[in-house]
Amino acid sequence: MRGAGHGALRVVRGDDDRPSLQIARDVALLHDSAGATLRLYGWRPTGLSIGRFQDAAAFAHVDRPHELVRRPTGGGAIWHEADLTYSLTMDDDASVPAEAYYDAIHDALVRALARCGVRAARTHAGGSHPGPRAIDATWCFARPCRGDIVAPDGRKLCGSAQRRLRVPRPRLLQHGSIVMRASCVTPFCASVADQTEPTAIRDALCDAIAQEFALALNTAPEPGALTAIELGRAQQLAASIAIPAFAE
Amino acid sequence: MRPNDRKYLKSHEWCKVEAGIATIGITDWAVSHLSDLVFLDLPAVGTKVKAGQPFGEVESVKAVSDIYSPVSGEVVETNAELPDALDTLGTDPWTAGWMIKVRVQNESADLMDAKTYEKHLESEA
Repeated sequence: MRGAGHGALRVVRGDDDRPSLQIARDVALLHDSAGATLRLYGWRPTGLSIGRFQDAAAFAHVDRPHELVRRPTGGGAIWHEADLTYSLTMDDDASVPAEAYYDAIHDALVRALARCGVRAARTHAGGSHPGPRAIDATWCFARPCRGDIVAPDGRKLCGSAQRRLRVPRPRLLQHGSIVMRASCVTPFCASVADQTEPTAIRDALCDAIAQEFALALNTAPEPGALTAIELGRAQQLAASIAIPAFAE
Repeated sequence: MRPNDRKYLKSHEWCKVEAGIATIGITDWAVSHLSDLVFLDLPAVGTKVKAGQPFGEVESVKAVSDIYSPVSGEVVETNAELPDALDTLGTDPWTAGWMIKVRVQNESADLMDAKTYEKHLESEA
């Protein structure tokens, strides 16, 4: 997998933060940065992110407190209560199909999970992706699709989605969430807590993900932070990403 | 060989200009790299589009990509049936798979003829 060019993989381990700000940081890195950056972060307060084309009203029944945000990426809705989210932004190779990025990144995640004693695999038996109308009310974790990461019992443990730009230069954002502990809102998820104590392995899992992603990119991980320009841009974008409660 | 009666962008859109109206779509190469299309968002009639800027979005396998306009101008017609018949893009991207028609103010300076677009594809392979 190319994407890091000749540079290292900048690894930014962020604190838990507002959902709209977390998505805005991913968007800022996609549009306004160069090179490859891996972010690892959590969500506080709890978030509900919906896919680019999903209808927010379809999730109006969720009555637990949360911030509702729209991702720039596709796929279904995700309840972010106790998950570890990764986001990889990097230069894109237009000739590489989306599935090839999912394969490479999900393989790296499976290896990272294994290093922390969590058994998982990419599923080859999952269903096809939901059709045009079906995505409106779909939870990302309700049903694995081909290539997703599943626990030994076949339930989905990690889901990912992408945004690809061609102009002004090809860039890719792939982000996804690993469920550390399932919530009663989405009880159908597998979780790391099914196999081990999530808080005990979180730091080690972040280290392992950074190392495995760097290996996949044929480069080295380099701890870093977002620049003041990137943080400022994200702050500007955050308001457009939050969805006022059921206003749509 | 792609149709030589139209022009192409590196980002894989085509446009065919007749009597000041550009018919715009995406190429067979783009369609082949967007498997399992699930959603297409097109602008409303009357929307102003700008050459080189996104006018729509498409989702496939949870990946969202922008669709860029080869011309600047005003959208005068959209292919309203296409979002509900995305298979059309695979079977006929050059005619039935058109997306929007734009009254042209000016064309992108980056437009290529079919032969140059073919060379661009070879360089991306």
